[in-house]
Amino acid sequence: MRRGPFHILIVSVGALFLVSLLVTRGLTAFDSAWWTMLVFEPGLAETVFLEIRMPRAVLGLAVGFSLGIGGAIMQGLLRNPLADPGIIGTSGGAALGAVVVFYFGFAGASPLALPIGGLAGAAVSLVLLFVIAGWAASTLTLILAGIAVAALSGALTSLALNLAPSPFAAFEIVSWTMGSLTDRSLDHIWLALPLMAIGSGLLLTLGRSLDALSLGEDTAVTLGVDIRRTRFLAVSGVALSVGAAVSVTGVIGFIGLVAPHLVRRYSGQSPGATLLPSGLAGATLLLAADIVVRLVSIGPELKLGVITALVGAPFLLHLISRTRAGGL
Amino acid sequence: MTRVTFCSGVAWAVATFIAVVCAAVAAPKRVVSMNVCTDHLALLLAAPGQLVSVTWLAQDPWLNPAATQTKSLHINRGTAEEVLPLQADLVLAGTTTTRQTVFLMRRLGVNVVEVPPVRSLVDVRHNIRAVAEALGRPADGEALVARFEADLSASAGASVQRLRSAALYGSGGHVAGQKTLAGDVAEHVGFRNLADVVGASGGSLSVEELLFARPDLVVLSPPQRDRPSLAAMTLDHPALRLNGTLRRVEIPPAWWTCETPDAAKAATQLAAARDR
Repeated sequence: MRRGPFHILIVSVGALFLVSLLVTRGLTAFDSAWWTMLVFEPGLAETVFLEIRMPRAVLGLAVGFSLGIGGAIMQGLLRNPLADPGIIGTSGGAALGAVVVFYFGFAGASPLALPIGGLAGAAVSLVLLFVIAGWAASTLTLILAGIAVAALSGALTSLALNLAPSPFAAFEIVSWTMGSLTDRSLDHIWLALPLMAIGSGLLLTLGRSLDALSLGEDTAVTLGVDIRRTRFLAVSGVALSVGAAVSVTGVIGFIGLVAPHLVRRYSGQSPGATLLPSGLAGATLLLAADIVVRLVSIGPELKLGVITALVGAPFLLHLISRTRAGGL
Repeated sequence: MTRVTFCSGVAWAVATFIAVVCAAVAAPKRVVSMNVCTDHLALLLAAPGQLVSVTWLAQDPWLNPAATQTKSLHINRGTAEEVLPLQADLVLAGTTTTRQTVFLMRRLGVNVVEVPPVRSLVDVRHNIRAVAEALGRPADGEALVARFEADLSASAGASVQRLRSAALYGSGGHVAGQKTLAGDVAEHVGFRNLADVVGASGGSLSVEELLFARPDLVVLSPPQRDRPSLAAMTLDHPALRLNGTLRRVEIPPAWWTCETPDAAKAATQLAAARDR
């Protein structure tokens, strides 16, 4: 990637992270209430800052990064510009795993149970996808299989929430299918951040293998790439990072789809070069979406998926029209 | 049958005298309740054997402190098919739930008494009397109201104390506003309802907005840890516990969701927090 655009990404992630820390509902930053609190009750101000805003901003950054890099990996691995963890059902599978663990009391057994449920769900959905579509499937087969997996996991998530013992569970279907960062705490950071970091780190090592794979499997083998190992590592990495991300935020669509396309223009077409920029672009998009949901100060807060779909769905249409024109 | 309906309708406004006459005419022998709040009152007021069926919600100790009393009763989910074969001569229903069932049963000639949802302490007295009269036990209703009044009067707060604000913070950040039983109890005890101050009437507040509003007291429902949900998670947010300046008291939602004398218990707890 050229240096300029890369620096712009870094700066935008940093700037949005700061904005996310500073603003509250209605996008008021340091208003009089804040100053009063800071002067007269610094303890309370510290609590608001460290326990409420910090987790939200850190999770926004990390989850966006995971989804962005997950999208870049899936698009490279499947050689398909539409492969997004949301569209092909990976996020849906993760949400199903997390929902089952969370609502049926398994999360009480161990704090790690929740993200492990998420990554198990993501892994199962990925394996299912490849079993249905076959490893060397055509673009169309793979997308159709992905839609089937996404529909199935979405339906099972709703079913699980309807059957859950909590009377609130059925009302929370929308939180799990549209995603939210509201009122997350430091506990969620300790739960999900290490797994997201391990998963993303694993995925960042796959750049060279993905580049080789983009030349075709035979060429990749002659270049010394172990294809089965690459696929295994890619699936594990995506399951770890996307699974852990979804288990604390719910399914946030379109970020994994859009982020790689945004950076590809500057990073070039080789899949390996898009990985880190895609992660940063994903973090930018999610932090921005999480700031936009705080715009509306009346009524319950918007869900993140509302914003990402408003931006992402037209983008998807644009992408499809370009694909049909043979532009990709 | 129409006469009983007529009487119970009028009895709201008219004195106990008429109610006693009505009760003498016909006390129902088989009573079915199709609403969790009428379940509460029927369990409190019905004669042994008079109550035949309550809703499945009444079995839940979280919603109904008297859940163990429902063991020997038929359980319904508020559908006509379940209720009709029970041959009830009185069906108690709410005015906002099971609407279609109520209309259907009226068409089929079943005697249905509807009890409106409770929004204030005055409604508690009204509804206790209404159900007692429908059951043909107005004296028991009066006794219950008298006990309730006695418990309640002990916790009444002077209006001077209304400068202090209380946030009635429920699952999922829901804030109880003025026209709710919880809001009325808080006012009775002498608190200003935070929902009025921040204009969040009937709405919800995030944890951050709650801390910013700086209520003098946060009234939380205890989170249901055995039935996890995102809504319960809000009440468990570490920021609500860590801060030493945030005064909190936990009150089970069952105490002031329905028109039971338990609302007086909630008032007593709030008064204790007020005087602390």
